[in-house]
Amino acid sequence: MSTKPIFEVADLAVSFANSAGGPRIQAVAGVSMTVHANQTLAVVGESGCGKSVTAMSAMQLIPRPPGRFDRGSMLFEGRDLLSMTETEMLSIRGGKIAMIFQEPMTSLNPVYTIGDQILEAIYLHQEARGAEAEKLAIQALREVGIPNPEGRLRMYPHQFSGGMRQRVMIAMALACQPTLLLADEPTTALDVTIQAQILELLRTLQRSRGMGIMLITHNLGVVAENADVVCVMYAGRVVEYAKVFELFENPLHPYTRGLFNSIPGLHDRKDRLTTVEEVVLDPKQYALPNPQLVPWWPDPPHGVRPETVAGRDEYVLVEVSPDRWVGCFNTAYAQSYPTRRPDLDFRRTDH
Amino acid sequence: MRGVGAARAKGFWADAWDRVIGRFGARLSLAWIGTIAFFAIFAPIIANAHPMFRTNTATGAVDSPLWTNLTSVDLVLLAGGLFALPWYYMPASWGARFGLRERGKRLGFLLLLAMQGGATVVLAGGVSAWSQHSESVQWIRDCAQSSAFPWIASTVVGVLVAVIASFIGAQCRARLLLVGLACVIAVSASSTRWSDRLVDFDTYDEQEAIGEYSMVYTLIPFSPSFGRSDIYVKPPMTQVGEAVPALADRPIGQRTMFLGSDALGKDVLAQMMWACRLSISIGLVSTGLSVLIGVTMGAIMGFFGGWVDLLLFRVVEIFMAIPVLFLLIVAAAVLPRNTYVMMGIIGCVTWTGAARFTRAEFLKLRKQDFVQGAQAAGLPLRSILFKHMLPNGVTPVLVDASFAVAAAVIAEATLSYLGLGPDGQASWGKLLSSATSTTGTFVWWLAIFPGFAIFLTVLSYNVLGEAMRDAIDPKLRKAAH
Repeated sequence: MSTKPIFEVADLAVSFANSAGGPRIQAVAGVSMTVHANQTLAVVGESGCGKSVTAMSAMQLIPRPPGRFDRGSMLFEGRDLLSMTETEMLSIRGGKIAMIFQEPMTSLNPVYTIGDQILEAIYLHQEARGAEAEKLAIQALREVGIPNPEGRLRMYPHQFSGGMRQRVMIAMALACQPTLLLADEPTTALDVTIQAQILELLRTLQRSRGMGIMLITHNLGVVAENADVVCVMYAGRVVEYAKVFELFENPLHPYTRGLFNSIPGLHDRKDRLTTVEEVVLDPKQYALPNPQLVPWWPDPPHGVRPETVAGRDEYVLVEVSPDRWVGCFNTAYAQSYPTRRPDLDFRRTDH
Repeated sequence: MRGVGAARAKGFWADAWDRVIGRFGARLSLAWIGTIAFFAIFAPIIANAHPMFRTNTATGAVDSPLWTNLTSVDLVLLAGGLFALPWYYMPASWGARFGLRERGKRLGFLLLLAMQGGATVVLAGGVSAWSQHSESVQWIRDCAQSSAFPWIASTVVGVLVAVIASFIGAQCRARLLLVGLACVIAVSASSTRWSDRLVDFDTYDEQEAIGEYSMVYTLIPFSPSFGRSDIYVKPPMTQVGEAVPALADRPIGQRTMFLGSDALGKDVLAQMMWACRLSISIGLVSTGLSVLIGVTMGAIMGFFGGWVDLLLFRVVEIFMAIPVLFLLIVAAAVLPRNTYVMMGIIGCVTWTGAARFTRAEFLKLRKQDFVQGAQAAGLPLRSILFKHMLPNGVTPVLVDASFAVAAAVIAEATLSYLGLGPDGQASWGKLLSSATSTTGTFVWWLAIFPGFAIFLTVLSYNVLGEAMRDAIDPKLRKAAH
């Protein structure tokens, strides 16, 4: 049983002009993913792998120039976000699609009260005015668990702690009932207990509204706890795309394995984390269910790099087994392999 | 509000204001500027050679030459001055009825209304002067003869300004009402006082002397335009009758010139009071204009960066190269010598400081998370630039502006001293220049009083600027402790 996704990224590529005058920097190079209603898609990967650029592209918040959308589409409710005009985007941003950021300490404007800022978003995207709008703002603050919301409305950001500010950010983002929430590392700046509370809160709000969440994070613990579907990104490409349990049980791409190996355990001592080089040089890591498919890697050592299809991008996302996608080298075999765009209508509660 | 330290927080501006006002010097400065502002508004009903009331001794009919001779600018200023204090200090619960609970918002609204009223009257005055000018097209001059013309022209101007005013700034419930009220007041003021009246002050004295009328004068029965050649250059505390025996048994003989008179026999105190208007308006309007231009240019440069910045900054550099005083002197030769031209020139040339400060702040701010957050919330560019970024970066501009006000006051005084100031308007600089030039001797009361007034005004703005800088800049604040 599959429904239509609310948000569908197909073959997105974004590049930036190099200020030094060199070649363009390809931040995202052919990324595909989907988010369904009531689903959390976790996008994982190291810094600079294109996670945030993907999310910012959806809001058209990439400064252009230097940025540029090279190809691909981002369908939201059947319309391509990338080709929308600025005026159309104004009603999407904060209205249909909301975004929360990593730094709650600096994401609120210090010169306005919390109330002013939430009300501004409400005035912008909803019909409510005056006392009715204020009621909506209070309701939004109450939903994110802020005590005494009436009084808090008149307070300034500096009177809130980090966790509280992130709650306010979430309240602001959700005050206009968005159908898709882009959460760009929402808990990175918070301590562990607050982090758990915020994620729990997001889950509760998601369930009550049936909202889709794209959760960008570094933290595999957060992924294991919250995600339904995981998309692992590396160097601007999707290297693995799977249901959360399958990914954690059996990571297929060597980069994913490397990521899991890097998680520090409580009882084992690690002086060094697994480096990219170690992963690449270990042939065992390259074993995919189908040995003729070779996991894609930028600039792999000799002996690993297969003969790719001439004149084409050497990367292709292949459905190596049912509902598992791995980024592979674009060999003749990979070309002929039956595959489809990554799309998983799966929730952890289905398991 | 519960919990430890859960006192209601002041907003940024309220906090900064409290820090400014906490300084003794700043309080004195504000008091002085407040005094100037008070006289700027109320001078026509404090110092006026027109009698406030005049009663015909035969018929008992009472009229008010003062009222009929008030200009449209006087009227609008008086209306604004009477409206301002109760409006600002009214209880929050009343303000809430207008949808403006906070004083700061009411102050902003007051500024808007003041600008609206001022713009209406000034533009209508411009239309009036132009339509009656001897070089204007004939059919316009014919139209201007009609009695309905003042009403029609000033209504058109007033409605246009009101329409613009109703789109600027925060919306509130009573907006249309208040903007409409300001429009009606300004339009009726300018249409009933469409063209300049011929004034003959001596008639009043004559009428009172022969007992035709009995007069009630204002506190100081002199106007800056009222001069008698027989009472020229009299020292302070001169009673007219004692100094000029010929006038001893005239009504005017009873008057005292508290600060003496100048070479044209004009009362110095009246001129000092009326000159407050020029002093305060030249500083505030020209600086307001320069801040408006500067902040807009700076915001665009800082936010967009790149080639926009590159291009506009060259414009800034061109303007930085223009010496204001020399431009003003040249303008005095070729343009009409009035206050508005002077304000316009100062404002249009001195905006580079505000632009550079704003640009630097915006370059810093545009990378801030809350700016990105505002973009992600779908706010339009106007709101991001001027509502979310500007308050975070406007403080150095404000400090700079208060020094700029002082500079504008000095520029006006300099020009007037050189005899190139606005025509037909009392000015401290003009008084100062008459201390030496016309009589050949040094007249101390024509130097001391206006000199001190200029000195205190400039000092006040500077002290205020210093206090603001210290209040706003946390690094300096820490160093002071």
